Amino acid sequence: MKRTMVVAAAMLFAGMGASAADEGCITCHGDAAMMKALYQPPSVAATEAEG
Amino acid sequence: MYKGFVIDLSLLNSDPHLSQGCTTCHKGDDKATDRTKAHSGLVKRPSDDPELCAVCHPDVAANYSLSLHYTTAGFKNGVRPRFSESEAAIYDKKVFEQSCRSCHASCGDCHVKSPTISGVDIGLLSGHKFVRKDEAKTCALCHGGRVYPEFNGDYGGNADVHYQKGMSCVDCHKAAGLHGNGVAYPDMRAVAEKPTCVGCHPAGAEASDKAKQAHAVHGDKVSCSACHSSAEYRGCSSCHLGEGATDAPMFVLGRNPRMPGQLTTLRLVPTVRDTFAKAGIAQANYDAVQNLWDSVPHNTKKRTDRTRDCATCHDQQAHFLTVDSLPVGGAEANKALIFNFRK
Repeated sequence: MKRTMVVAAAMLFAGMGASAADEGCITCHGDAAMMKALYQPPSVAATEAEG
Repeated sequence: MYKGFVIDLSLLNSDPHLSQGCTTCHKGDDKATDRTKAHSGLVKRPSDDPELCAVCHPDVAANYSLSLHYTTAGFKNGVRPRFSESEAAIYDKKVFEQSCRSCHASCGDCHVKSPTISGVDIGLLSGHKFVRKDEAKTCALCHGGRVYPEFNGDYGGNADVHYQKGMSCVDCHKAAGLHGNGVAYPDMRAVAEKPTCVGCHPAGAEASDKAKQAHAVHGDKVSCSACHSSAEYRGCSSCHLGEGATDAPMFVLGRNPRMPGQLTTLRLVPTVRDTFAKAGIAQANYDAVQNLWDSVPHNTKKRTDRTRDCATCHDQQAHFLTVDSLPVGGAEANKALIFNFRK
C-alpha cells in the first residue's frame, strides 16, 4: 500500500509537467515510416514448440 | 508487423493512461537520440507489477495479483505431486520461476499489447489504446496451442457452435474469473466463477423430449463434453525443458480423475518421465499421477456421433480408453481411467 501511494504521488506530480507528446519516444514510435524502417522480424528457433 | 509498435498519436490527448508520459511506466531515456541508449533500462511490460495499475484500479489489481493468470499456480500444483520433497524444492527454485512462471499474463498483455509467444511479438492491440477485450490478439496467443484453434475450427475442422453463433471467449469467461476474486486458487478447476454449461443450459429446459430424457438418464455419470465434443482435439506430450512439446490429435473418453464414476473427455498433458531431467528431477512419484486429465474441448456441437446413436458408446464404445490405447510410457495411474462399461 505504501509503495502504491508513492507511485501514485510520483505519477501525479510527474504528470503535471510532462506528457507523452513532450517525449522523444514518439519521435520514432509515432512515425509509422520510421518504425517500418527499424522493424526486425522475429527469429524463432526450429525447436520452439507451440504454446 | 511494424504497425504493432506504432503509437496512435491521437491517443496522447484522449487517453488518460498516456498523459503521464512514456517513461513514467516504461522507464528508458526519453532524451537520448540513440536507439540503444533510449531503450536502456526499458521496462517492456510495466504492468507486470500490478501495483502500477493499482494506482487507479486498486480492487482489480489486488484481485489480479492472486489470480491464476498471474500466479500460474495451476502449473505448479498440477505437476508437483509427481515430485519427492527434494525434487519439489529444485522445481520451485530452478524450473517454476524461470520457465513456467514466465507464462503469467500482465495487465497489459490483455489490455494493451499481445503477449509474446515463442519469440513472436505482434505488438500493440490498437496503437497503445487500453482496450477492454480483443480475444484474437490476447486469449488466442497464449491459448492458441489448444483451446482457441479448437474453438474457431482451425484444429479439428469443426468450429464450436458458440463461436459460430458469434460468441467470444469473454461471453463465458467473465472478467471476475479472468481477474480473480481475491482468492488464490490452486488451479482452474477450483475457481468459483468458472463457467459451466448448465449455467446457460439448465437441465429440464431442453427443447426436445429426446434431449430431456438423454440428459436425465446420464446425469452426472457423463460429462457434457463426452457427448457434445464434436471433433479431435490437440494432445501435447514429450515436453522437455527448453525444447517444447510435440502434439497429435486425439479423442479419448475415460474416467474423470477428479470425479470418479463420470465418463468424460480426457486430454494428454505434456509431462513425460524425463521432462525435467535437465534440471536433475527424476519425478520420483511419476507413476502416481495420470497423464490424461479431464478436459473440456472447445469444439461443442449439439449433435455428434454420440448424441445421434446410443450404440456409439453402448455397443461400439467408440473413443473409449483401453489397455491398448494407453499412452506409451505413461504413468501406471492411467490404467485407473479405463471405463469398464456396463452394457
